[in-house]
Amino acid sequence: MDQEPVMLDQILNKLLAEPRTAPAYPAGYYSADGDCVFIYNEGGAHVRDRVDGLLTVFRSPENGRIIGLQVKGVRGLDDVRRVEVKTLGTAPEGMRIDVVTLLLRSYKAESGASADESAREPERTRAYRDALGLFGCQTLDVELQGA
Amino acid sequence: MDEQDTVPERPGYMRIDGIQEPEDGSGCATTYAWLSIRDLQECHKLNPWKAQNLRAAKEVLCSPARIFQHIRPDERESGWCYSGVPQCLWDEHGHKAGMPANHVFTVYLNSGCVVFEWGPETVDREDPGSPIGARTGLGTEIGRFGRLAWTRNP
Repeated sequence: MDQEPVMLDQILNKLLAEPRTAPAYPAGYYSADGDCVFIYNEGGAHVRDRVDGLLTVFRSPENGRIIGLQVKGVRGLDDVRRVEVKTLGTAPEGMRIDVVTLLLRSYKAESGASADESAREPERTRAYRDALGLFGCQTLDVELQGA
Repeated sequence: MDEQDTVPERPGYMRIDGIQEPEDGSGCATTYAWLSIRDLQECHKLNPWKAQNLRAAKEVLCSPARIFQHIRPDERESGWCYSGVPQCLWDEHGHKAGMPANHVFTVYLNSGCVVFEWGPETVDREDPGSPIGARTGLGTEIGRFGRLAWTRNP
């Protein structure tokens, strides 16, 4: 083997050993590999609840409340982001995500996407409404890396 | 995909070895996946519970019940979804925790075999190895995925 790979457990144990400062929630990041934005309101356990092809919400397994979400297909949605250059330190370029626009774009894009999705329309609308209620007043700074 | 012993390191990523090859019908061949170190650090910062459950994600990648292709049918490049039930989940302190009932654990990879999402989701009532909406069945239409690439129990 070219080089002994770093083991996943080692990295996770190292992260556990490092002091962690809780971020100011809500906070998010963009995954270039998934072309999606993750936004969290807290850091605990959750289950994934796929709302439609673009939105998945993360719910507490205890009471079902939304603690985070994943919005897919962000790349190319120029109207939901404004590219800015962070000038402090060595932080890379960042982008500001307008969560309202992002969620509304996703809701519109997935409306009537398939017969199966249409059957869940009331449930879908409720999930978007709940997500907007939790995160809709936010504009989040996330790193642009790879977008 | 190349043999594991010829795989170079990838800057900014860690390699996860020993995952099941998605297109191998026998289910015996193994390959590797990648994980962005930056994404892992961001994930740990915002949701350490999720970061610790990469341990469960790796277990599912190595021993899945189902593998689906085409995460997003409208996109040109397809990815993979591995689904299964790990022995346990992990809490944010790295301790073992229970897997919620009526759930499977799914792991999502892009077309370059980079892991970008994982976690438990509701099981499909018709198939205990699949997440809800998958409507699995070899040769049949798949609801939210393009294709069932592999199943442990056809």
